[in-house]
Amino acid sequence: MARYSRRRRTRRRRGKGRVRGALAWYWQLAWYWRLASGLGLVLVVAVVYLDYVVRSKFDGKKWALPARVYARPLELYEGLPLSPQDFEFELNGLDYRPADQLRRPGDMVKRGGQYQVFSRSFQFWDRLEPARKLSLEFAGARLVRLTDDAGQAVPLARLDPQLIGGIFPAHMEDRELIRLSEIPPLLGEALIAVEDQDFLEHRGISFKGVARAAWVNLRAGKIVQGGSTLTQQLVKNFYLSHDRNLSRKILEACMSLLLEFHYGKAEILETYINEVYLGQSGPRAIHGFALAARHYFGKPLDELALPQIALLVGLVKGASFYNPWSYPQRAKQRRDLVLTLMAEAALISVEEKEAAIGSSLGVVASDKRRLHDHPGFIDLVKRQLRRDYRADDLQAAGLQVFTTLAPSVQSRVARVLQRRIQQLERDYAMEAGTLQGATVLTSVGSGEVLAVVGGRHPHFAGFNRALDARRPVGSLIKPAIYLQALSQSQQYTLATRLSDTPVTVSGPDGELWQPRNFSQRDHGEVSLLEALSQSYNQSTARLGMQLGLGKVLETVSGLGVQRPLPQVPAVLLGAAELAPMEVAAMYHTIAADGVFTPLRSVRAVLDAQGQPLSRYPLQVEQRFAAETIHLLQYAMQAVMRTGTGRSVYRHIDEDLALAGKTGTTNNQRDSWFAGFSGDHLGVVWLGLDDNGQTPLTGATGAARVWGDIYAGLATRSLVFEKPIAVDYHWIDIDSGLLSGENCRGAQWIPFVRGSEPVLSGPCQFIENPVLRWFKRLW
Amino acid sequence: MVVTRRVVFALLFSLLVAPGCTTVPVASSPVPEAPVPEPETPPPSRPILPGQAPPAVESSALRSVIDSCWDHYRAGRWDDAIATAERGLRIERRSAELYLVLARAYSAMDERDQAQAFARQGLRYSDHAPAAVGAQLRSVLGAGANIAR
Repeated sequence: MARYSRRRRTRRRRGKGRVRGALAWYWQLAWYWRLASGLGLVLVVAVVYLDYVVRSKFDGKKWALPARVYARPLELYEGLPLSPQDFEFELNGLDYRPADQLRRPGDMVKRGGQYQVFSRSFQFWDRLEPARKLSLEFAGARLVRLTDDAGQAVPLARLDPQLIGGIFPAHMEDRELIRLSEIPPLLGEALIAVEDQDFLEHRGISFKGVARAAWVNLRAGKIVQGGSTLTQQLVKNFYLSHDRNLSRKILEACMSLLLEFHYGKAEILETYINEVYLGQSGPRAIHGFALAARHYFGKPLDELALPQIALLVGLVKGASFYNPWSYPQRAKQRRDLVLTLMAEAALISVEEKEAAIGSSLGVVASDKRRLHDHPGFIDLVKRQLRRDYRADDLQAAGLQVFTTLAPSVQSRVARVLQRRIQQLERDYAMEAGTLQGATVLTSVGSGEVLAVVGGRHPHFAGFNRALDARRPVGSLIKPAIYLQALSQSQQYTLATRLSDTPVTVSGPDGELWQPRNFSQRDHGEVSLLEALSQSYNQSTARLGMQLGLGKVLETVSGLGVQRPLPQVPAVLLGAAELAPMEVAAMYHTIAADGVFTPLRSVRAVLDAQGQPLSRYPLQVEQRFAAETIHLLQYAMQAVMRTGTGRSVYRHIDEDLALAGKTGTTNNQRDSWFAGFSGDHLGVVWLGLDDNGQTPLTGATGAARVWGDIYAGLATRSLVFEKPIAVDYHWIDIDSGLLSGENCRGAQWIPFVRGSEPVLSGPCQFIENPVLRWFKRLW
Repeated sequence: MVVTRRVVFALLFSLLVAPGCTTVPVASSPVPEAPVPEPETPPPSRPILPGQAPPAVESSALRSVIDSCWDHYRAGRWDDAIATAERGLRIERRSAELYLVLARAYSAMDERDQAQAFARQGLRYSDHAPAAVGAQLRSVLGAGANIAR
């Protein structure tokens, strides 16, 4: 019984054990099932998610396209003031190729002083400028003949504008989008032959490709081919990080399959060609073949020759490793290997391969590829655009920004400033590298800024002194005082006598202000003309106080200075702090005959499709009478002929009529010069960043830079037409009374009609009047 | 006759032998005795003379731009007319006719302040332009004045 019971218990136990085993097995199965289901679900979710990622990025906006910033296009017409040297400089900047005859857009032929150019077509904001063959002839610094290839006169032609920079997103990726239909067929074929021979057959991943790559690499004894398909490479670059691990490879494979599932080969290849990283230009990453063509060869993709296509295809494997400027030998070997593979794939003949292997790399000079040559100007452009556009749009919407920068002028200004600063440091035994400078050059009338240099190192994008260095302007403020005086024509004329004896003015806090002349000498009574042309401080301070500070500051504001200035007597001699750009705005109104025009650096903005978004049109507002401005321009020409700016004419033809003003501040901390011709206004500042003392005055420092710039500038004389209500009279300059042409000390001076003196002064004949009369008769 | 000759010769003689430095008072007012400024600068190297403004150069370039402006204007493409006129002003900034285009285009766009400003600017340079241009510029100004009233 006990045994039976034991057996029964044992059986029961066994039975229970079997049940338990079955249950355990069942639970285990269920657990596996649940695990598998869970994993399956996770996998499905992951695939769905990956699918979403793949499609959303591929269907949406693929890339953040930086705004492309262009210089002003060079307008060509007979009579254009332009030297052949500057014309060549412009062509060079546009990557026109010297050739023996014009074959395709971008070619140029030079024969003696004559040029032939095959211009490129370009879509401007107003119209499409077609490609055309042009012949040009220069005489001196002027274009005198412009014809087409049939010899017919061309009234006006416009070259494509030079790309001078971009407004980039934080990752600094840059690319120029191109459609598959625009890609040279040979490039696509070569890319497939070298990178992925089964591209047209596989579904995203290619085991055959991996095996072949392994075999090729084994035979070569080094890595010659990769196993990744073009699709995998695109996924890696487009979606994933550059980590190399198994999970990333699996992800890459999955996404490649999904990409191939949803999109056609053509679409994938087009995206690849625009996405691939092909080099670096400073902080700017060069992506895509179109931009790479310009980066390495300075020409559009469709103008590349076979060896150049081969080099670009070769760079896909490692743009830094095969950098043709850093490692030319390595790059050539890679290019030649690509040519060999192309020949093996029957894309080119053996002869073509041999000829291409025999050619040089043909990349442009490395220093030509910088898109950051004009940081000072680009800075100004960004500030203007930020008023109207969001930062995201500027960095990512692919805007095309057409600016006013004149490349040849900008280059000249930057070069001259740098050279003259170094010269001044040597001449005045200054510590090398300490003297700084800034320059702004504008076109007169249009208010377009042609050049901005923010420091002695023009390519360094640091502190932009042209826009941000607010420094006391010294005597540059004086024309505003004299303009205010001359606008009161019944009280003040250029012949009005002013006392240039010591003057004392009580300030608002009871302090006495006693300005002295720079020479520390008094000049007694002087004419208003002389006081301005010689930049006398005492007479100017006295005049300013007579006029009233409020009136003077009103004039400064009317000239275009928007910043409120302190209403203290010292402002009359330039205690006002302004940046060179603000001074340029002020002087532009004087140069433009009293008409205020806001200075601008942007002409138009187009969207990525070339549709106009905004234009920045010319605006004018007449703020000062033509008669008053005529008198002021006369006095400012006297500055250049006989006054503090006369040194400028040492290197400039005296026939060129110029007007300007020097400025020097206390202890010679700032050296300024502002002046204009008929076409150009220039402002130059020199000084130390720590506001230290310099040995320079406006005349010995900034005026020299200004003179250097204008000596090489194709510019025309100031147009100094007498307004109807202005009359010229001979004036005895010592008394301010009427005089005669044959009287010693007489000057031919303009007056607003009715303001001329009525009394005549003494005359010391220069020549016997009768003899003079007879001489004139003959 | 003899007397007249003598008078003439006497006059000529007196003038010829008279020293060139003789001061001839031509005014009755006393001349203020002012200190003579010290000669700090050399005499003027070249006199500053008012010039005839070179007339707005009616070059073929300018003519083609002006014609293009009017084409745009007549077609009602005011923005294009303005952009083209500005292109022309870069060639010749004193062309009254280009300012007329701008004045008319802005007037058509109902931007009266700019229209008036450009009309005034054009009038400043209209001396060398055909009379009709001046008249049209004045008419833009007049129209503005009427509107203002």
